Amino acid sequence: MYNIELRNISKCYKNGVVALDNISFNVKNGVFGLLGHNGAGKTTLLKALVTVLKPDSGSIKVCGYDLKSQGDEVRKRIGYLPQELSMYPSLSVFDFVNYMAQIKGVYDKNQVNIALQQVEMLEFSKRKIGQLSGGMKRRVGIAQALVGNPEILVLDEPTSGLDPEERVRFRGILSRFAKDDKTIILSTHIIEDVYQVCEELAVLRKGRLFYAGASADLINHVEGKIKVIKIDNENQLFDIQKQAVVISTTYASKGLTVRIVDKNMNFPGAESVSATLEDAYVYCMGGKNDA
Amino acid sequence: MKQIKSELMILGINPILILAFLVVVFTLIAIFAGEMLNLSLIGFEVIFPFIAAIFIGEWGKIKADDNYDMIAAQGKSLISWVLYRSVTVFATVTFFVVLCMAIVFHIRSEIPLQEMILIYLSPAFMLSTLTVLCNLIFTHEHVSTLVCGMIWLLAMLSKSMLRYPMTEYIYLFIRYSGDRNGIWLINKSVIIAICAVIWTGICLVYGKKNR
Amino acid sequence: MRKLLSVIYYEYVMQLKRIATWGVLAASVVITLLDGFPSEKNLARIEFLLQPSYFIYRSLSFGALIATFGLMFLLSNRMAIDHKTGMKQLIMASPITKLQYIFGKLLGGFIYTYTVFSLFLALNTLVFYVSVPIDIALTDCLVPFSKALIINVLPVSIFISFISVALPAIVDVRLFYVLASVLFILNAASPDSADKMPFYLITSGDLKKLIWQHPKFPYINTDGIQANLLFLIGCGLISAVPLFLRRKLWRND
Ligand SMILES: Nc1ncnc2c1ncn2[C@@H]1O[C@H](COP(=O)(O)OP(=O)(O)OP(=O)(O)O)[C@@H](O)[C@H]1O
Ligand SMILES: [Mg+2]
Repeated sequence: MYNIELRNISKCYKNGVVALDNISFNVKNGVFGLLGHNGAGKTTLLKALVTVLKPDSGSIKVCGYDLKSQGDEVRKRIGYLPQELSMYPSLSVFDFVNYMAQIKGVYDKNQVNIALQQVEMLEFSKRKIGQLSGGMKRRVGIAQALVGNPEILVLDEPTSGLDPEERVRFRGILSRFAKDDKTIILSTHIIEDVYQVCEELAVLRKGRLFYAGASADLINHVEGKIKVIKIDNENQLFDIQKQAVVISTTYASKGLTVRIVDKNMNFPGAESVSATLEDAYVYCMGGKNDA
Repeated sequence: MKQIKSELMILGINPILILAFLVVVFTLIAIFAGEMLNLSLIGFEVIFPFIAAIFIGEWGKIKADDNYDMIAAQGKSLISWVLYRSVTVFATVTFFVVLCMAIVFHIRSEIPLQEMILIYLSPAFMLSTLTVLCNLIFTHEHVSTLVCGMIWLLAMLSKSMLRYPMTEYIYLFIRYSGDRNGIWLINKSVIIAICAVIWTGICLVYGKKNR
Repeated sequence: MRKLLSVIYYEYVMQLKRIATWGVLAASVVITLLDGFPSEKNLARIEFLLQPSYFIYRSLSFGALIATFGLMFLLSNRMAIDHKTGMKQLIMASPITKLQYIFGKLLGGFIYTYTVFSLFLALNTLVFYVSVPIDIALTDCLVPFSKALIINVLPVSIFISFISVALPAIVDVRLFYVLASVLFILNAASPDSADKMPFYLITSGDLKKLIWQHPKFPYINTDGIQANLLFLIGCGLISAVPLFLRRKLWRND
């Protein structure tokens, strides 16, 4: 059985923007990544998942409970980190997380300390939220989502603003969390995060589901087609762009290096390299014509 | 001119709606309130000047503006931004206030229009200047309005201070409190002079900062 | 129930931690004492100032109006702050009901207002008791003070906290300020008299006369007191109703 089941979710905002268009997919135990460009509808989808926003149509089941009729059961089981959260500046870190814990019905202060420990914020627990750095605030946000050990974690761009070490540690937290038969769904723009921890992912494009499934399968889309070409000037780059999808270009002292997806095998002589998730993702998002 | 236009766009429609609403309410009061109340005085010397201050405190935000850091760091001159913003708000409010005065004058003819404008301008200028000063100091929303509001209310409550000599020259609501010695024109000029001094101070301090 | 208490408690703590709260309290106490400190000059000027009950009566019409005016501003962002900080989404995603949330905000604001207002009266009374030049029994101060806590502070706190927490969530907060300012200035402009007072006076209405009465007019105006009480409590409670009715305020289950 799946932990989260989305069926034909659609949402049109009052200004006419279709943020979600008939989205269906399932999420099982483990870490699930949600990718998509700015404005693709990730936040909208996650808000619908945590019952804050009501979709126009479709149904969502979380842990077997229907979101519409059994919202309370769902809310008891989720931890949520919104994309934009500035919290109450006058409260201390501990007080804030404790406040959220109590709202969730968790009255054990040890739990608060454990959550703060997990994000390494215990030493700052007395500091006021208003006096924290941006990344520290994000960590407090993660801590409040973790508190009370929810079955489902919904994290909207949790790693934005975290330093590299903290990001690595954060992935550790997620992996450990996922081991206990829990579900984590996170949106991000950092492919590295997804690559390291997510077994499955979904890609949204302009409100539509573009891909949902195992990360490995997404890579298979482009495996064997990634090539690296060295060229002298930008004019050549334009020629290449006509024949293949360019993933990245790096400027060196002499000329530039281009990484491409050679879908139609137009560059048989070029050096072939193994595909990464980022290649697959950029290819998906950039390949407008053959999507 | 362009900057005033963009400040007006930042203001949005809400302040205009609120001002229009106030004009309508005030007109209704002017029609239906009895002769007992000197509406022109309490309205234009006491209430509307503070409304101007509320508008400056709420829509003329400076330090409390979410984009303050961005503007202070990149703007050509902080002081001109402060001036444009405050003047735009003040002018918008004053436009509606004068409109309201004209209506009230038409209905009740208690005080000539030019006199009403004079009566309004000096406390409005004073309270707005104080609010701008607070806007430049406080980083939290609504605090400027709060501080200025308490001063305003205190001024009203401390009418009895007029028993001390000279206070009548700087008392904000001189006409409303009776103006026993008939010095209100001097009082209004003194208050405007004090504002001018404060503004000179603001310009000196903040004009230098951004060079 | 416990969640409601948590919301109330934190609402209360957050408000008390604001510097502006203490600024308002200090300013209003200083202003009250400037007017009514039992100094020789003031005693010569103000006839009944030697009576503790009169001092409290006078504080209620003078500094208390300023204190409540300040509190009104401080309470007016309590709903908006959740919107602005993104806390609203977080709270709505938690297992807490709309009733718990709104009552938490309202009651938290009420207890806060009650606390600050009581502190305001307590500080004034204390200064008065310490510095009044004649001997006064402590009970002479405590009796009118305790009376004021129930007769005045309670309804005024309901009025101020409920309208200032609830109304800005329904109308533009700036419009709320304008309307409230008009009400307060009418309060400040009403001269103190022994006659029946207008019902819309917040701290200085007829209710205040239960604390002290002018010896020349020793009658109690029951109508006035009822109207005053009804205005304060009625407006407070009624202003909270739209919060519960407004569906946009909360996730729609
Ligand atoms: N409250 C709203 N009212 C109207 N339109 C909205 C609202 N919120 C979002 N949108 C629109 O819905 C679309 C999806 O927005 P959403 O926030 O879900 O994107 P996102 O994938 O989270 O993007 P990002 O990566 O930038 O966070 C966008 O076009 C956005 O402009
Ligand atoms: Mg988003």
